[in-house]
Amino acid sequence: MKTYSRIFVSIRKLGAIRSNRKFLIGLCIIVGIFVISGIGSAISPYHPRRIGDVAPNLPPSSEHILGTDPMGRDILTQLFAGTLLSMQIGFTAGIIAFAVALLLAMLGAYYGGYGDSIINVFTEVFITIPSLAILILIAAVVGRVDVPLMSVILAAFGWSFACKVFRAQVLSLKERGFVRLAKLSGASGIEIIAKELVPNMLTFLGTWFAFIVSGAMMAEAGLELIGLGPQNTVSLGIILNWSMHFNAFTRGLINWWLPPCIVLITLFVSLFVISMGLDEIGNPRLRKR
Amino acid sequence: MKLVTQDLGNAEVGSDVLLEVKNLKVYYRTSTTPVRAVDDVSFELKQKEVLGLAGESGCGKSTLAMGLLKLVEAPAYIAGGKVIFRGKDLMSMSDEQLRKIRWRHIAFSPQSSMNALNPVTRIYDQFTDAMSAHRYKVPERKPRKYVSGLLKAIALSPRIHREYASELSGGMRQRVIISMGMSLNPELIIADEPTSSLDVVVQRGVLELLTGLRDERRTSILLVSHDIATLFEVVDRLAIIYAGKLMEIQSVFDIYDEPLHPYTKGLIDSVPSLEKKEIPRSIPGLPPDLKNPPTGCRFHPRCAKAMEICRQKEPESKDLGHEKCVACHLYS
Amino acid sequence: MNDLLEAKNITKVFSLGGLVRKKYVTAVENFSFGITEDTQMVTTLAGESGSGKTTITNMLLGFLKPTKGEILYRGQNIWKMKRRDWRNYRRDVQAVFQDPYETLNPVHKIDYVLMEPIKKFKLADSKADATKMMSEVLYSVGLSSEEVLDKYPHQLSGGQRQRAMLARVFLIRPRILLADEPVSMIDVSLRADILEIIQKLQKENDMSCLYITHDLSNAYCISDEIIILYLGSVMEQGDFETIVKDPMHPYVKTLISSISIPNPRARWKGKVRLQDIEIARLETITGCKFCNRCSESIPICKQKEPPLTEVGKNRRVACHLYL
Repeated sequence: MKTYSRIFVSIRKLGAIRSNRKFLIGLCIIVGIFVISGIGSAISPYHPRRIGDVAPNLPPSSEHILGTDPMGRDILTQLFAGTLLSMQIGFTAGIIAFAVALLLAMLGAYYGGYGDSIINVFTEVFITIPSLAILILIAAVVGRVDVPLMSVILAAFGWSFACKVFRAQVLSLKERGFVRLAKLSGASGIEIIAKELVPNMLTFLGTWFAFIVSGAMMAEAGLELIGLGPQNTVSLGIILNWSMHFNAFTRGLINWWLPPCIVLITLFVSLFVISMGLDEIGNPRLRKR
Repeated sequence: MKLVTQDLGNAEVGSDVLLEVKNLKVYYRTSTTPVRAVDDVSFELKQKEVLGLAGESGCGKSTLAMGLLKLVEAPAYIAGGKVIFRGKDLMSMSDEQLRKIRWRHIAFSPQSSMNALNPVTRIYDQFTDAMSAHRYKVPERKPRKYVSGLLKAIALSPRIHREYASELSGGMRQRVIISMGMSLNPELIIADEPTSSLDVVVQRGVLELLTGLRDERRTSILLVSHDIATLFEVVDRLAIIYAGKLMEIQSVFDIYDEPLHPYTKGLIDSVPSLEKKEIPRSIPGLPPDLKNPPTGCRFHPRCAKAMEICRQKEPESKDLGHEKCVACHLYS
Repeated sequence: MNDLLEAKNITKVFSLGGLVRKKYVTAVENFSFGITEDTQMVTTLAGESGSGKTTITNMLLGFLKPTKGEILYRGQNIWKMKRRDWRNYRRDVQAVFQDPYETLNPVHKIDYVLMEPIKKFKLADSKADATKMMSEVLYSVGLSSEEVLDKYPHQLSGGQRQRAMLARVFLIRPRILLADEPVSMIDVSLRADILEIIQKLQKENDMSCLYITHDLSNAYCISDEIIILYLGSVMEQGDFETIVKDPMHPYVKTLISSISIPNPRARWKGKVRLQDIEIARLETITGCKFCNRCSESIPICKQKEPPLTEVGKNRRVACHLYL
């Protein structure tokens, strides 16, 4: 652990993370959205899911800033709750996918041999499976999907491409001279992976983490939009699903369908900007002078 | 053409001056002060002469070699000076005029031959491309025969015609580059580290080939290298560059018997030899930062013979006669 | 005679190409070499590109497994060792490499690089002890703790990095050092310092050194013996000085005479004949590997490969002319 803190301290000393605007802006936006949604959800007097909580179909006013939906619920409260849940699912799925991808990539690429071949084949198969089709199938078959299961399902299809990329990176890094030096100093395989390879991959991994999380959020919103996934909760995708169901678009109820879209787009863009920033940090040639 | 009286005892070297470099400056633009990679260098290259340009990495010799033909790319730029070839100053020529001179009259063989060859063109086509670009009249109008002859001269089989650059090994590519340099029969070949990645025996072969050109075709060769031992094997005169400045230039025999500049002496003393079974002596200190070079003589922080004036004033290049030139306060 | 480290008839074959047309390249063939407990000298392993010297180095260091033959440490096959013996082997056999920048991890400072072996090999009892040790070894190579410990590799010069690598070796005090082209990426006027440090290391610690290079002039300064490789096999081996003055094998003769000497009055005599050396490697040659370039070959050279034979005190040649 001490090594990790020393690594982080040493990277921060480079000043790059602190001064990189893209990374900071993206991070601020994401954290900002999370905090606002959290506070909003907590202080809102309305319930996001209870039907008939308030009068239905009210236009935006000072009491209901975004109005209410046809089922009698405050839209702004829905938005807060939905954002929180979407982010939660996205990040959980992202973390699971990331961890699985990283573990398999490290073990396979570093140790090589038959294990690597097996992992490699397994990864390639998963990549070629049309994930959305299978996701829809699973969601349709299982019926009632709850949030944890949703995260796992999303993770199951998010890990494969990242794993392939991580593996390529590890393969190239393990040929570097400092790995030989570490071996000569008596380091074991795990130590080399943890202390020599991972620190060199940090920004790369960070970038991919952002990709995976946005991918998971996108998949989640997509599934919810077409009506699959947890039905008894409120997420951004579900809000869009209901608004479609009630023809919000044709009826011009932009106070209902537009806010979730804006939030989703903002989340994706900030994650993208974070990954661009991390890319710049990791690749000094891209840094603006 | 200026005739320089020569008193060398080396009957091979011609007496006409082929290339005259006057106060050449090549700098690199940075966000702060420019890096003075080549700073006020002057020397002459004669006909039928092999001149060696010696120096360690970062001393500016490659920049100088490219600067002679205005081949430097941004952020490097020619900051001043003249390079006079056949009575005309190359530095004041237009791109179009320079293009006529390059390859046809002065050939340049760059340091990394890997990058100089086109990877998607066959070897034969690269020869003919260069020849047709310069409208070179191939002897007997038989280009294939001519190229085969060129390849045979570097002992590569004419089968190479049909291959691509990536299919050849490093040594073969190096030889092809030199052969292409020879193909238009230039008066001068500038070779930047032509043998750095080659095996010992191949290196000897390539250098013998180049000096053979001097003997048979009266071509002059400017050989740029950090390998002092190899330069001693083949050159007629040797110029020593340090931190962008020309420190000394003498005939190779004189420079071996009596090196004038302390850096030259230190450099020669630091080179190992199969003639002596002992560790040579390093020069203390480190090469300077060219953004912020030492005041006065750039070598003074490492010089055992440094005097007070060395720190204050930059020594000027002094002609001591007998083809000897040195920039050192010990001789002013 | 205890062999500390021994390569016993090792052969390494690499396969190139895909599933359909596999080509096999024999990088090293039947190579044997041993360092005993009491020899403390510097041996040069010389060879040009394609000679197999890098492959041999990687096999001796346990990075590459031989296709045939064994690498033995104190009599035990390193690929079949138990963990504790492997630790000892690691401690006794160390290396410095050609490119000190490549060999250093850009995210770690130099003090990490020196602390790692101290921790893994338990070279010091306490942090204070370790700091003192690091300071001492840095001094031995002409560096100071303040100068390098707190710096990242990119903040040091090439010479400083290589010295830091040698300081690491001083720390571990192995019995054998494999130096793979230690000066080829250092400035010419600064190479002698590195050679001096290697010699100092060897003399002060009763260490044996295997100096792997293609540049014989540098190796000559500090080596006692030399082994000359060509396309994976030994052509000649023995006392370095004797071989330089009087080489026997035709390849070695050509090689020695083609080395540049910094003396304009000792220039090359005659000319060499350039050949397409590259083709030779992929052809399966029966007989001597050098015969298609050899000016002194006799009929038997094409048919049978000459074995490495003893031709005098501490001298071996693989050539039919001397059998």
